[in-house]
Formats: sequence, structure tokens, C-alpha cells
Amino acid sequence: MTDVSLQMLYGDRAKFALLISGVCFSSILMAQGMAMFFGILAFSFATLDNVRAPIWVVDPMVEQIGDNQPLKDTDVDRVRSVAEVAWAAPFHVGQSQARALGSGITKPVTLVGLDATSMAGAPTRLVAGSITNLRRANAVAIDEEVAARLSPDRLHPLTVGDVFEMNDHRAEIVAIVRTRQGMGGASYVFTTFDRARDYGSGQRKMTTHILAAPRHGLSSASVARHITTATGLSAFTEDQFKSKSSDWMIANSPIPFVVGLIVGIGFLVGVIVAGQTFYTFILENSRFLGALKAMGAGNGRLARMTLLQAAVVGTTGYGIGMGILSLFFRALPDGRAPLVLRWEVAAFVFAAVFLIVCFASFIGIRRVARIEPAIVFRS
Amino acid sequence: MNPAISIRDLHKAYRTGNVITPVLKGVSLDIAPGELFFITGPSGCGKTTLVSVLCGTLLADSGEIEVLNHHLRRMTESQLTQFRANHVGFVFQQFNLIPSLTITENVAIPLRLQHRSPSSARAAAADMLNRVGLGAKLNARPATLSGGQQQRVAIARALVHQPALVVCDEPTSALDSETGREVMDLLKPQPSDSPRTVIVVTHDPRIHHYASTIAAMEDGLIHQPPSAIPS
Repeated sequence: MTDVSLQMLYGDRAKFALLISGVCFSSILMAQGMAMFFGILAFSFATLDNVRAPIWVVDPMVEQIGDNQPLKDTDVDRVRSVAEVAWAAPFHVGQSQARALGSGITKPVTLVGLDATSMAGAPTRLVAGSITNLRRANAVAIDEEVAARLSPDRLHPLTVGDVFEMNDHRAEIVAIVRTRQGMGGASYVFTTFDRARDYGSGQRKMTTHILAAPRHGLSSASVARHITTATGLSAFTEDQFKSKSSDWMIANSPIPFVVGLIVGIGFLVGVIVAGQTFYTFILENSRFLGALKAMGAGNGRLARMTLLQAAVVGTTGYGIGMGILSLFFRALPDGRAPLVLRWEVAAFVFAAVFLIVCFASFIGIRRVARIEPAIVFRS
Repeated sequence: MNPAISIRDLHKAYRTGNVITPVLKGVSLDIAPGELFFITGPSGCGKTTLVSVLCGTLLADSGEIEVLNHHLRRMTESQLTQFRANHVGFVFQQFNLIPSLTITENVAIPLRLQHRSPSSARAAAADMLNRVGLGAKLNARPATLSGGQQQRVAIARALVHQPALVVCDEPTSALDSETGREVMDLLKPQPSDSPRTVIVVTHDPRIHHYASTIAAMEDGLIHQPPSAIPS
């Protein structure tokens, strides 16, 4: 009776479309909310994506990537002295202001200071120029966003060879790079560690992080543990630092509440629209279901037919919803929107849709079980 | 010969909250196999309840009811479901054809409920539709047919699995005289058919001459003893 069940479902096209729309809209709402959550998280640890290093060493008080507690200059040597460490380099992340010459436009930027010898943590997605040219006097590498923001009055954005100012110091662009945008919207300027002192706030202790790598054959996680034990500093692999930063965001920001609200509303929309429409669908078909009962279809068979209908509605609505969302995300400019559609999101939404379908089936089956076959003799 | 249906002192009441409304008040009746048995009477006299009870869609409160050698009051719900699937065909006043299925698929339903394969059920359904004169419309949806044609589809659905009992609720009330006659000609047991007992609940005096027996109900009882109609 599978075919009969499906034809009854497809036969009422308006109701079928409404059922699909309910589940689809609910899937989109839930997935969009969660994708936004992961997107915001990704924005919050953009520095970790833009600066690739196997191990990050920070002050023990640091709770997340945006928390820049200064380290002592000697801490770099202490990390280097750990036997399992292949190399370690000082690293600076801070805030500064970039000012365009001519127009005088000033924009906030995230200033990154790299070790001039090793260039550890240099951005990997080069658009123009050369990162090694950062060793030249007054050299900086900027991301495309900085180039665009400082060039509203120009025909073309700033490029290699152009000059701007930071903290009253001349900065000559030697490379354009592509980065992931950070949480506050400030985009990235890369320079050498020593020069970052001039371009930044000029603080006494410039080392905010130490980047390190394990010796060949050792895992980053185990070497990070060795560093922590030997130096008393906190050392994390990239994934561990992301996870710590995520945990901090979840515990200390209103984002999980807001996202939870969106996901909850999406779930409720699904339950109400799909549940109500499915109930109406069963109600409107009760005469035919009664006829089937009279002709010898038991409650078990009708329940299986109802479950199948609900499952088809659930999977179709979910599939269309996630498809629409994927296409929408694909159409967005790369890295601009805080939306990340991870497999965990898809799995969670599938589980939520499964619950919605279970609810709709439950009320449908309950209604079907209460239909008396003798209903067919009543006009 | 044993009767196809034997009812003794059958009682049935409906309860709405604390209000109890007795509908069948001790009905006793025998119907012989192969009869075309009519139940008539005014609205609210209990005809529909009686026919619902004797085809196993409704349980009586007390009394004895034996249909085709099955004691319906002693059967479980699933046994009753199985009994209806195997032994009873239904013709409803409002046809109750599923609108999203073709008429062939509608007629095939009783066979599908007996676990016949879809292709064999469809073939038997097409054969039955040929016999009721709808062979040219096998893929039509019910909504595209006239009332008389829809009732013929309903009759084909009631007969396709060759049930020993066919229950018809006002089968001609929505049809004109000519179509009503055609419908009754189809329902009338034919010598070539497998033996079947047909029970017709009707208000329609135009078709009374088809009956082999007529029982008149009033106020929850068979008011007038069933009378055999001379053929």
C-alpha cells in the first residue's frame, strides 16, 4: 500500500506543498541560525585562520584568541629551550589605525608583527607582491579589505608600491594578501615584529603570542603539553586554541542565546506548520481512511502509511531547505558573511526535522487510530 | 441451509457524555445465503447502525451475531479487520473513492489489502471494471466520472475480491432512476458469480422490486417481519 499512501499525499498538491514549505522553512531557519553561530565563531578566531602555526604559546591568563596578554621577551627563549620544539618565534597582534595619504581617511586595522628571520605566521594566500619583501624598510603587507577601505576616492584600490601611514610612520605596501575578516571588522596589516612597535601603540612588551612547531615526528598536541609543563605558559595546537576560544564565546557572549532563539523559533515553526497541516491533511482524508479501515486496513497498516507520508514530507522539505541554503551561501561573497554550513549543522537540523516528523506522525496516527470504520456509513 | 447472517436480541446504544441513546433494541434476524436483502425505514431508526454491526465495523453491546459462520462479538479488532478484508464488500452512499488514485487503483484496493501483488491486483481490477462497463476509462480519476459511473466503480471495488457478503448503504439515493436500475442490475447476484449475500440499506422505493426480502425497521427494531418478495 506504499503507492496508495504516496498517491494520497501527492494527490492534494496544495496541502503537500504547504507541508513541504513548513519543513523547508523550518530547516532553513534552524540551519541559518546555527550557520550564523559557527560563522561568528569563525570570525572570532580569524587570526588563527590567517596565521597558520602548529603551536600557539600564550600567557596562562589568556582565555581566547582575542585576549592579547603580553609575554616577556625571554619567554621565547624558554620555549625554544624545550627539547621537543623545532622552532619558536615571537608574534604580535594588536590594534592600530591606518591613514590614507591625500584623502586622510583613517581606518582601524589589526596589526600583526612577524619574526623577521623566520617569517613564522606569514599569510599564505598571496594576491600580489612578495611576503619576503617585508624585510625591507617600512614594508607592510595588507589584505584586500584594507586596500579597498583606504581607497574610496581612487579609481583602483591601493596596491603594491603604494604608501599610507600608521601611527605617523610611513608604510609601503610590498604585498596584498587575502584574509578572513575578524570579529570587529578590522582587517589585517602584516609587518615585521620590530616595526610593529612603531606602527602600533608602542607598548614595552610586544610579544603577545609565541608561535612554535614540533620536532619532526612529534605531534603538536604532545609538544604543546611539554611546553606547558616546562615553561608554565599555556600552549595549544591550532584546534585546541580554536576550541578554547569557542568555549569562551559560548560561555561569555550573548550569541548562543540569540542563536538558540532562532533555532527554537525554527523548530516551533516546523512543529506548528507541519504538525497542524499534517493533522488537517489526515482530518480531510478521514472519510477515505475510514473506508480503507472498513475494507480491512488495520490500524498498523494505516500507521505505516501515515509514517511513510510524514517521512517523505520531512526528507523532501529538509532536502529542499538545505539545498536552498547551500545555494544562497555559495552566492555570498567569500568570507564576508558570518555563515558556515558545517556537517554538524546539517546533522542537527536533520535530527530536528526527524523530531518534527515524529510529532506530525504521532498526531496523525493518533487521529487515524480514532477513526471508526463505521464513519463511512454516516453522511 | 444455515443462514448467512443470524442475529439474536442485538442491542447497541451510543453514549455522549452521560447521555445514553439506545439505537438497536433487541433486533433478531436471519438472512439466507444469496439473498438480496433490503433494510428500509425512516431516518434514525437504526438501519445504518444495524448494517455497521453486521459487517463488523461496529461492535454490538449485547446479543448474538453470527455472520458467515463467524461470531463477530467474540472476535478481536484485528480479527474483525481480517474478516472484513476477506469476506465483505462495501458500497457507500458517497462512493468514498480516493480522488488521487485512478479508478483501477481504487478498485484494486481490496485485493492489495489481501496482499495481492500490485500488478495482479490491477489486472483483476481492470477485468472487473470491464464487467461494469468502464473498460475504456481505466486510468480516469473518480472526479472525471459521472455519479452513476462513480457508483459503478464503487460496485466494482466491492465485488473485485469476490466477497460472500456485500453491504450497500443507499447505493441509488444520489442517482436517477435509469442509473439506479443499472447499479442494481450490477449488484444483483448472477448465476455465474460466486454465491454472495447482498444487504442494501435504502429509502428508495424505485428499487424495492429487486429485493428478495425486505425488512422494515422502526425505532431500533425490525418493525415488520421480513417479507419475501415473489419473483
